[in-house]
Amino acid sequence: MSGPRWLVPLALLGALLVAAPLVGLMARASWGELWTLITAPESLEALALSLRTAVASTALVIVLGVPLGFALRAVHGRVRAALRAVLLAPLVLPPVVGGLALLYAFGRRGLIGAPLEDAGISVAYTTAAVVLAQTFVAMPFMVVSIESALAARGERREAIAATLGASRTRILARITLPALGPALATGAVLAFARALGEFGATLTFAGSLAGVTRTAPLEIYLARETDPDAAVALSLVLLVVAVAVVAIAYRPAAMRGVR
Amino acid sequence: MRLRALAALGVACAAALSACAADAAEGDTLTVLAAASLAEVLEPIAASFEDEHPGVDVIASYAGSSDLAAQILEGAPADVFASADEATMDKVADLVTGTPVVFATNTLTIAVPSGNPAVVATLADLADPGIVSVICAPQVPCGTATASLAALAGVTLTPASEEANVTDVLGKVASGQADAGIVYVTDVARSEGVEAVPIEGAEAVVNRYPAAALASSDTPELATAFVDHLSGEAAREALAAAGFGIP
Amino acid sequence: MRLEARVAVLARGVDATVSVGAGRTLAVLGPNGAGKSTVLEALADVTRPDRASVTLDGRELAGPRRRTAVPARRRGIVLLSQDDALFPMSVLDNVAFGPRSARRGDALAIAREQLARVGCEDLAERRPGELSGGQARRVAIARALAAEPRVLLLDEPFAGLDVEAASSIRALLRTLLADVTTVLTTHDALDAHTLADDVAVMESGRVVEHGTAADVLARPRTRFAARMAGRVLIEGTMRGGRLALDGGSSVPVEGGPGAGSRAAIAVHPAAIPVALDSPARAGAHAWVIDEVLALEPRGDHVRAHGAVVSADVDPALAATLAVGTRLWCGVPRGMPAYAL
Repeated sequence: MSGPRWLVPLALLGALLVAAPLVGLMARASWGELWTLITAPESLEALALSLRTAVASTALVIVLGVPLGFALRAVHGRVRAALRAVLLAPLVLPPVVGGLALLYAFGRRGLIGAPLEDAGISVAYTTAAVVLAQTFVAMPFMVVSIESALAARGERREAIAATLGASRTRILARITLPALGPALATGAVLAFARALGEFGATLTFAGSLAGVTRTAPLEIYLARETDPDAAVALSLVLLVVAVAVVAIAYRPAAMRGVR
Repeated sequence: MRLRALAALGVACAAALSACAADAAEGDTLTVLAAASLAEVLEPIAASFEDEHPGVDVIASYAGSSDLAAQILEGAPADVFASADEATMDKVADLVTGTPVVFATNTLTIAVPSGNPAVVATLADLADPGIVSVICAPQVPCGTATASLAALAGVTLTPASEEANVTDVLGKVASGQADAGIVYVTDVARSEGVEAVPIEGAEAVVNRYPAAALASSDTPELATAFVDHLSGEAAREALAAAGFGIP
Repeated sequence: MRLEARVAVLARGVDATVSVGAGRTLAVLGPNGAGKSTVLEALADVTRPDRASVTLDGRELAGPRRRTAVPARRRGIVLLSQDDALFPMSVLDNVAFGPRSARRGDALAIAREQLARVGCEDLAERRPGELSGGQARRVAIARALAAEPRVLLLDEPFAGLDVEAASSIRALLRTLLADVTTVLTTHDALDAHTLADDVAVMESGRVVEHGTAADVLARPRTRFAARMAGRVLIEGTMRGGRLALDGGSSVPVEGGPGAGSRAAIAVHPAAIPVALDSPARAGAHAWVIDEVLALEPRGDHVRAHGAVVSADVDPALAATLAVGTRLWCGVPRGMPAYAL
């Protein structure tokens, strides 16, 4: 499918707009010191924390997001539209707004945070807060992925399995979840990437303390003012991860084991 | 055919860009890059400068001093740079004309949420593990100053978070996420929902605000005049009212 | 296991009543779109019926209230759909999916046994994507039987198969279904004949005839049922040993109800010769004049539908026919007549 020729210059301009900043970032990098900068203690600490929290939040996203995807299919009409709008909001919410929202829910004076605080459980300024913020922003990817996969496949095999005497749990485990494998993988990869890149909500809600809450994006944010070379080096690491994730998540159907 | 269309597009873009650039270089416009902490106080100062120089339009751009220095190093077109600290001014020393002039000073204070719910009284209280405190990270100027002051006072701070700038510290205090934070006196003065708890001996660590005309300015006289204006009577009054010290 | 059911799926215009005795096979016979599959799906609770009354050996599975309906997985009614709906797991695991309350080892043993019954034991480790159409159908049959169904529902069991696969599976089902209570759908009278004890004819979502296969297929009571049975229904009134047709002619028949009663004979259209001119008044046929109302191409011949009779015509003669052409049709003498 190739459109009229006048699309070409616009497409080239679009490509330039997207590619130029990425090339700019690479041009700015001090390649000779790149390895030293990435393996500096602050960078490694931030990367390690990012990795740990992103893995944890991806796990949470799977455990909670998959049931949400099912829930979305279970309701209909306006209820579904409204529920979907709410669940997907973090996808398009400005990061700082997400941070404020989390703050007023789980912060020390928040709706849920205050009672927790009274009970001696403090979320703010902990690694758990980072995971919470990341899960909040990453969840929609899984919900969308699961919901659209469920919508696309219908429920015929599940219905047939029921006539064979299988319980709902058995049908879920043996029929539905295996069929959702590719969608689950895509959702998890995108959620992981989003979690890794989470910045606004973490900054507003979790704070920034080396090894505890200062993830790679926060380290970049801090280093940007004091050590731009280190900031660029860390940015490149995240850039590579982002490109890899997109390549995996939007891999050709043939590579997803789809027959 | 394809190439010609692309070339036409390129020309159109270039024309649009040069039009913008021409606007910015009008003789009667003065672009001031100023530290974020100057945001409110600079408005009346700019207004009084415009009164004294009819036809001149002052455009101020506020950001963290380090960000602004980076922009200047990358060649941003501007006339005056007003930094929140001398170290940052030193970074652009090659790109300024004349000697930077220190026109204001600032000292640190403890900021607490309105009503001071955790009853914070001294800097030593911030070492109490029961009190949630946030400070600037030692990598940024306000953090350097905080570390110096704590060292002088012999206090080992136990912050819950080390923020990248004053705004983030204030945000956490104002929202009650933190019981206390260390910021500049002027930051408390311009913020709602927080109040200051003075630090004994704060004057030992003074932060100086230098300003300088930039070498890249198209209107060097006007730029120098603005730097001088910052030390003038009108500016001193406004700065003092905002809580700044006057050198 | 005697199944009695009435199910209505309003969105598809289906409201049908069927019953099948223990160990018997009921063929639901009808053209595409008559609602046959919908009836099976509603019986299995794969499609939610708007109204349903289903009893199995006197036990109510579905009644007037939706809440009291027994869910699909507790009905013991297994549906084998046209698409086989094999699961994305090995053939053996597919068949081992069904056995109720069996431990894994037992389930696998049952699965191997059923695979052997359908002649597919060597396919156990294959994935569904690696099976031919006929193999997939056999595996689906094994899976359905492994679930020990109280009632087995087969939706067009030969649909989508090539002739060879269809005939071998037809032979397989004849032995496998012998003692299983079964409802199958088909649009083919021959399948109904070979596999079913009872036949229910469906037209536009309704069951129009229901009875033993011999009765419904040999003595259809409606033109539609006759058509599904591959026959043409010739109706008339008994006059002594003859059937007086509605067009005015009469045909000698065998048996039938008393004089004055409505009666019919069911004749294969291929057994009715036609002629354009008045044929010699002799032979085994009673000739009646009819007018062509429609011409239906059927592969190597054309079926000419008249007001009274339908007959199969070879293409050479059919080329000379048009709607409105008057035609002599030879109705065989001595066909068994039955009351309508």
